[in-house]
Amino acid sequence: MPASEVLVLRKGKRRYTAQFINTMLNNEYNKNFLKETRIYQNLMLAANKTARNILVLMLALALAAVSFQSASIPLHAAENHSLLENLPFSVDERAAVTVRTIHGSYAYNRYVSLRDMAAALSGTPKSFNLTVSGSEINLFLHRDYTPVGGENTPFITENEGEETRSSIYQTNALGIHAMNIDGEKARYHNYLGENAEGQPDAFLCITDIAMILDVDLWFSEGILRADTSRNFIVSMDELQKDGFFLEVRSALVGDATEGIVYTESEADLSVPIASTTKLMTLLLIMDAIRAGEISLEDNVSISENAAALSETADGVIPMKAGMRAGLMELLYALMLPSSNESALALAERICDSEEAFVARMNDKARELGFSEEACFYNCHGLPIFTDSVAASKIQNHMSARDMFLLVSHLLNEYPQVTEITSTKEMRLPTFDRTVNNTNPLLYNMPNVVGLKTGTTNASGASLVSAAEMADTTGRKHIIVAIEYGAEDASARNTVSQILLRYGCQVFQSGTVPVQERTPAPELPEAEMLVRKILGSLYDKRNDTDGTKNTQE
Amino acid sequence: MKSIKIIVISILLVSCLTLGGLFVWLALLNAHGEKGLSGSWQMQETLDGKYARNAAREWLSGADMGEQVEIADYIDNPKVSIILTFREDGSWEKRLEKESYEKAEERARKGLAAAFYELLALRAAKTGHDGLSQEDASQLMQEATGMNAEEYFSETGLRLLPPLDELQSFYDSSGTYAVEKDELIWNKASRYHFLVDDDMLVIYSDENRDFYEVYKKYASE
Repeated sequence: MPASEVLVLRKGKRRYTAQFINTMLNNEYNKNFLKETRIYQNLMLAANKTARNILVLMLALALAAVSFQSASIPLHAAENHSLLENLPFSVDERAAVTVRTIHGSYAYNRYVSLRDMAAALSGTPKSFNLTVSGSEINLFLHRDYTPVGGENTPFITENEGEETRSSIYQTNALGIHAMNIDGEKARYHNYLGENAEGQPDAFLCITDIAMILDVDLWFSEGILRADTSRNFIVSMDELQKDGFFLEVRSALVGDATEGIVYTESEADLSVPIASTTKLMTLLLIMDAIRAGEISLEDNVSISENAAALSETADGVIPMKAGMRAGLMELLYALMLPSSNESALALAERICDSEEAFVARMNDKARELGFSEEACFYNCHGLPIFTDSVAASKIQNHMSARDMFLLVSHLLNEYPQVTEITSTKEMRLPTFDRTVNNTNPLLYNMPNVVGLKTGTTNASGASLVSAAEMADTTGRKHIIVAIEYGAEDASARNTVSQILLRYGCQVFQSGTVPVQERTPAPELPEAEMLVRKILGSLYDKRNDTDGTKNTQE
Repeated sequence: MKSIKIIVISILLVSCLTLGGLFVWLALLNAHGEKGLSGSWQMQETLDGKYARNAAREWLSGADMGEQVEIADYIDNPKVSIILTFREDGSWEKRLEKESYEKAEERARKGLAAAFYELLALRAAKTGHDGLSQEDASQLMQEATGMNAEEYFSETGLRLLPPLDELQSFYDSSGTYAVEKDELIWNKASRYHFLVDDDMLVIYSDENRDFYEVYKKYASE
């Protein structure tokens, strides 16, 4: 049979090649003729049967793969790692053991084997046990590790001439796979793979492990060392020397209750703020409640615009125009899964139009003393295009310092908002769904009370987080960490957790680091005068309106 | 013969009387020229309003939306008084009247106050508080600061006109004068025509009859 001919099907003893069929079908007369003949009908029947057989075979293979999945690496997109390290790890000055380490996409972006770490730390104050399946990781702190075999076995290396290189190691793709720490849900990016004995293993970022275990880890002479008598401490000086803040565009940590900044980096740089915009939206909603314009008990009719937005790629919760949802329900939708359509529905409810609401946002920005560059274009933080021939993509933007002013004001004026922002999960009956909070720190750190994530291509992965602390008199303080512009969610989560831990650490130490505080820019006289007068106007209207609610 | 004598004597008498009258008239004219001129005369000078409007605009633009208020609608060209005094000893003095300067400054501040109230109305409307009138805004300011806008600008010393000493250095001068017929001789050099008509003095140049200054009689201080 010529190579160009392909065996298409077989019926009985006759074999019809592709070339034959094509020749026949290219001829209209023959096509018509064939259609009416049994040859054609048989050909199609045979082809269908063959196709059916192939499909069945594929399904069978898929089923086998799925059943095999439970005992092996999940068939998510697999990732092959060539940047591998047999990291020497010494605990409390003991002899070093090997911890399998993956450098995730970049050198020194270390993800270490949990089983190897657990085995090395077993019997120390920072010991932990764990179970890993194809889909879930469970850590149990302060428990001795139960070995399963294969722990602390180096990656196999291959010799290629004079070079020695590690073999390729396969895991699934980096992601937040189900993880529990002492029975509580946690959200850390991880790889799932297998160890030398084929036992399921998980790899976590070395910084995350240090924070989970609250253990002092450091590198010395190429060896990772642990002192299990010391807790994880953030040394901001050392981090800054190592270029810690280069990973993000801007950052700020401080006591929002007192308005004291602990540390900052490029805090005056105006950056796109994505969905952290919704903190301003929330503030104006609370102002409107206080002014009697709306009430928490109100029902809000979903507008055409909000419904349309919910059907786009930026929609979070499907909504229909005319639906009525409780205002409280929409607030949870706004802050937990970052529902853009909820923002729009609430804005239009308060001000009749998003335009008018945005005008209020900008006015509030001026009132709070934001930088001149701070500007809002919409109520949700999505990028928009300008209405011009040379249209450009623009987003709400402000600085980290502006955001600190915003959240300080929000949390001091309306401390009750943390009841919403600290909620991990909420059932929304109107929309028949349960929504989860996108803020990973709620799961990963104690005392975290919010506040809001934000992600767009331009803004990067950003997070405004907050933790509640109490001073020696029992008075509550909210420590806030603001981070804009991390490359991805994994970096955002790790950096933000370090920043927030640092903030709590400083607060607990009672010593605010000496730092040159840039004084807030003084407002021009005319602006200060306008704000003072209009402030009295708003108070006057609240007093005379007669519909003012008591503060929630 | 007798009739011719009478005619000649009559003609001589009439001529004398005419000449005498003419003499008296001329003398009086001369005397009225100098005596009419002496005293103080007041002229209103219109300053270029750009300075005041720019100063107001600069202050107002410190506030958000300040640039949206049209300052020219509220501040016109300021007017000040120039006092020209002719003394009987042949000296003259010209000066900018301070009181008029203060009044012009006050008027400019009043204009800025009205512009500021418009700004308040714009800002209030932005946050849903429509219909703030000038009176409302003034009252609001009174309640918030204890004074209205004009008082505030006065209290804070906001100046919208060029400094007084600057204007004075431009307008204030002195010298000598003399009168010859209807000509006014300034500092023994320049010559101007002048005309006094009741309480009005007009001084104009021979070279350019369009150039003139008009003064009104000014009550002495």
